[in-house]
Amino acid sequence: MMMWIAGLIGGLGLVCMISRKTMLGLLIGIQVLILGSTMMFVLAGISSGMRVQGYIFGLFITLGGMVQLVVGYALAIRLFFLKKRISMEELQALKQ
Amino acid sequence: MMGWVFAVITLSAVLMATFENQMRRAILALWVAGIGVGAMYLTVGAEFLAIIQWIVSTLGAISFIFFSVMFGEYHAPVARGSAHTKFLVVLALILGISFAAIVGLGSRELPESAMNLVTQDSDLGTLGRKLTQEHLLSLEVLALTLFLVLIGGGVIARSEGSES
Repeated sequence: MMMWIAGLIGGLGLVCMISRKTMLGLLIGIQVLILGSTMMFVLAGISSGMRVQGYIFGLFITLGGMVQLVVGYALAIRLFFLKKRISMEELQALKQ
Repeated sequence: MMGWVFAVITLSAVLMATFENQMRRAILALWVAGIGVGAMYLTVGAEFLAIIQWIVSTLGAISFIFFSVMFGEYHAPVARGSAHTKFLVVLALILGISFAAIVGLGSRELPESAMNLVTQDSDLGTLGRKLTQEHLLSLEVLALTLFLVLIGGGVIARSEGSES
């Protein structure tokens, strides 16, 4: 049942990523998705008898989540500098 | 029992973070969700990961507040998509529930003893030894990634004037 909850958290993160229209909303969705995936690895490690490996994978995913958060903030700052707003529709402006 | 209480709190917070229109409430809900997940780790004996999760969630929430204030979104309602996006949201909900079903049905049942068991192999010393002896390459790759992100984030976010 705990795995169902972890899967639901990950699924809701996916919903959040699609429904939000700003960079910060997208980052919130990604964070929720990462919360769910970390939980899955930790619980899978416990249920399969590889507790420590699950914890280590969870740690790596959590810190990887921080990496994407920093990159997201940097892109949002760049976008705000160019367009004065951080709408997802303006994201293509970064290619020019 | 406590694990289920934390699970309900976490799931409610995640629902609020997903569907809340005010950015500040969404950020607060994300923070509560992170704290709840950390508390759930605590109930399965993962104290180290719980503390890491609490620290990361709190720092993440603070940075979200900082950046949303900076971009003028802290008090503004969150922009939602058009009818096409609403269709995508329904599709994502179906995908999300299917995802949860696949994970739930495909995984083994968590043993009841795991809910309140603190094993000797999950203490900080054992985790540190495992990290440095068996997962050293992964640790180095993570450290290099964090370093590159620090440099790359600064380069991406630089102002136009500094290029000259």
